[in-house]
Amino acid sequence: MSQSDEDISRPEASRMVRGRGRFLDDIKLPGMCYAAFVRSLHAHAYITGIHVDEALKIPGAIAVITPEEVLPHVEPVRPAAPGSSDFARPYDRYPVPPGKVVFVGEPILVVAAETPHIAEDMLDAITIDYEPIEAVTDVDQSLAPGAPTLHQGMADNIVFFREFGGGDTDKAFQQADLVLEKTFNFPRQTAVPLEGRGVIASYDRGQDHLTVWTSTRAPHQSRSVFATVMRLPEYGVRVIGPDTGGEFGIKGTGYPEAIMLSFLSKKIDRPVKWVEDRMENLLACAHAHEQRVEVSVAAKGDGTVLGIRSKVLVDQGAHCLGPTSAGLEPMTTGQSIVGPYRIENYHCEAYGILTNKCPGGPYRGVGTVQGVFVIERIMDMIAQAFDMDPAEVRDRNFIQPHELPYETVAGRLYDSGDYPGSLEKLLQLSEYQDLRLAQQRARANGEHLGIGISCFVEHTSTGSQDYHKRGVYGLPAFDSATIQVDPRGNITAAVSAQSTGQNHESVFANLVARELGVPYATVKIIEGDTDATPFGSGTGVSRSAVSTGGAIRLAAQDIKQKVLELARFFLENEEGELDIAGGEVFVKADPARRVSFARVAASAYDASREVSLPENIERGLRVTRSFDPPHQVFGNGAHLAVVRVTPETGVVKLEKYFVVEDCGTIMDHVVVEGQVVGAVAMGIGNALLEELRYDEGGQLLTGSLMDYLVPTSMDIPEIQTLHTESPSPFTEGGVKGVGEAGTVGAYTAVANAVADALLPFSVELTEPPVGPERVWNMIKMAQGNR
Amino acid sequence: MTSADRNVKLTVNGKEYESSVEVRKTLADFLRDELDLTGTHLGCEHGVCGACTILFNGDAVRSCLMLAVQADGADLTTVEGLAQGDDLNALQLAFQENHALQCGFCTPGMLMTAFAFLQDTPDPTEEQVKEGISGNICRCTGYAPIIQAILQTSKGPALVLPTKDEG
Repeated sequence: MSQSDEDISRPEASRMVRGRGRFLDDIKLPGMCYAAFVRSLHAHAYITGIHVDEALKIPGAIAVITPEEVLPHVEPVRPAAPGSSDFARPYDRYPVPPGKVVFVGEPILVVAAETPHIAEDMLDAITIDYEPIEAVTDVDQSLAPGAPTLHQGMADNIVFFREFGGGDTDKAFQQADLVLEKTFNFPRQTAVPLEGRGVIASYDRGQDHLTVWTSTRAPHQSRSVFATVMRLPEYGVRVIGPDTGGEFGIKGTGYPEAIMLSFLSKKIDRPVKWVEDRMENLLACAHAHEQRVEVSVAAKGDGTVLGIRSKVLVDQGAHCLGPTSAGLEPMTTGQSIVGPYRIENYHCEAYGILTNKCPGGPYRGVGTVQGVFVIERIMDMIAQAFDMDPAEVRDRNFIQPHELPYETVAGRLYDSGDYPGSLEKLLQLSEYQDLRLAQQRARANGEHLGIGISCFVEHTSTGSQDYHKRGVYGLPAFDSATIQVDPRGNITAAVSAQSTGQNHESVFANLVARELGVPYATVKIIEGDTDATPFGSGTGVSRSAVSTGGAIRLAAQDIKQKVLELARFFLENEEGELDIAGGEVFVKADPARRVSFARVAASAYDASREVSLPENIERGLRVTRSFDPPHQVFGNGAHLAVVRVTPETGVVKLEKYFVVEDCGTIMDHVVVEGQVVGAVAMGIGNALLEELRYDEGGQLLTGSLMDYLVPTSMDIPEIQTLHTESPSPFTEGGVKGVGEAGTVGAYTAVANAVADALLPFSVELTEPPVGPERVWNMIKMAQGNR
Repeated sequence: MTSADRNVKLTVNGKEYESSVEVRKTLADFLRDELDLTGTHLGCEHGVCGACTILFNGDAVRSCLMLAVQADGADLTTVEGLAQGDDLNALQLAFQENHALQCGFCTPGMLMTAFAFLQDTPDPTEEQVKEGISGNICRCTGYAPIIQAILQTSKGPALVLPTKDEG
């Protein structure tokens, strides 16, 4: 029997609580040595000299590899690699700087030594001569006439531009009773998985074959990048992803360190390991979220939004990282600004702009968090302008359930959901009217209690069609599953996804067990090895439940069909309908006639004493299927936060938190609850704490976890959740993704609550994070303006 | 052994070790590299995240902030030393039952911190648990299931370390 969510064992948890996980840094290979990177001290500089002789004299030093040595042997990576984008401006990114560094922390040289400590000693003994040049450290500097450009072959620093929308915004603004013009500034943030990046590269000269162990969410896409850059066929590269200690978007593909390590292993003919430290993680792993968004909003007197014009300026940092990243934030934010609302007139100019800072990449909810922040702050501002309740303004604008599927003016097709219903449920769950009364009493006592609502739709599971709509081609967006039943009836499902904490080993095993009617304990999931799994996109864009889950369902259906076909030989060529349950194939009309799944499986391998298959039946029991989501599917939700602000200190205390979540059909309630609550905690961190800061010269000021703050147990209140299910018409089983939704909702619910608490001060909140410093400053500024 | 090495003698999970160690090597690196006890994880190496927490003579300490030579003569317990053979202790079981981990990287440090916390505070309130684990970062769970797991454990019999012959 397949089992319910509550009583399936979780293999991941079982090994982790014993300390038996196998993370990248837990792997030791015979003969392995250790790498470290010399990183740029300047935001923008020519490299005029490299002095490595002293480093090579240190006992235990093995090698130093300079850019000159690497460059002739590698191919560059283009912004949308392995695909290409119609709207991204192409330039060549090499894994080492070709003469010029473009951000502080950029890897320049890699060294190898017998121990990690000696490798770090070598870094101290290497000198780089720089000729610094003017750095551009924000989008205004980058766009200024005559600004220095970052990359050769580009006329300016605009790496992505697209203008899109629909309807008639001019008419909308002519009819407006209220026009709001607002500028939002979003801070630079980064995912901070507890385990940083790590790579082991091992090049086998005899086989001309590279094996790379890497903490990644996308083994197959990583392999494509390694093969391209290293000029190897894909079969010449094997990527292995061990247990991954958190990811949240940033362990994708295309990091130069991994390429340099591969090159190094080839040169010294030894396996070599590199594990980044936390400072490297904060300095040179992907950053995200830094944007300025300028909007004009036209609204009617009843709160209806008539139209929006937006300009999204993404501070991309010095490079585009991995697939889609040139347009990742500009497009995602631009498309998210219309929210779950019937906004018929929209125009967006979306820019990706290069600056001399760490390259930007994905981070949970990337792009969506800012788009939702903009529209949800706007909803509250409209409510304030017309003295309406924030919930009422949203109700006035929601797309209604009967209108779905609904094509938005921003170019997306919302599939299913009940947006007003989600808000309605939230208001009940949180006892909203009582909260407002409590707020009135608090205000009368001079206390600053705030209530913030955030309603959102969130795209998940992007397929190739959606990438094409965004002008991105050649990027694999399908996932695959190979299900194999062995002669004793044990089952493996090898998948292209890679769990980074989403419990694929139990969720997908349970799915296989349910689809095939076999015991959960007979199914094992295999992930994270390009030699053992079929090609596919990997984990990301909240896609695994949909795309890998879809591939598993299709493969399981094929396996089931074949098992039923073979079972007929055991059941006197029974022609009636058969089914499988509890590991037994049975005749539906006469369930007493049955044969075990395992006995049938044996026959597929000519390992059965009872049945010899006819020659025309293909031997073995193995099927590979893939699933490319035909459309993005949209989860939706409504969040409510209650905060208390102490104006004298600026401290924000979260008191209550409520979530209504709709991710379509739920595959595993425990895991979905875990994803939602964990993502809300991350969104709370985004809203209140997390900010990477640079100085004017492009030096990172927040290089430790004492400067870049993430939430602790003291920062997270009790989170009450209510799950509701609107199956998607576009996916196998009606499922949607869920990994990022919590973050998307929380970022703005918390900010709206702080804004609500501060209404008596007439502050305007357009810049998260709203930690003590910013709150205090906003209050002071508002008081100064009076 | 070079002049920068020293001998250390210590007990880890009930087993005695004697080893020559570089004086600059942290205790965390020593446990992971020399003793192959890789359950102790390194998340920041500057004492903020708590992933490397172990028991040092019964106290929860950050093994990234100590040198291996400082552990000479000490009695240590790492996450590998919590279970009695294959039998998980109540805290480990509660982490499993409450879905108190996702990626699992913070889990060893959380378990060790919680173990020491429950020795000191056998019957904690929820607020005390929150404070007790506030020095350990988890990026995945939002902490609620971890807090539940610790509270659930506190309702049962007191936790003990395995007897030495099985440790």
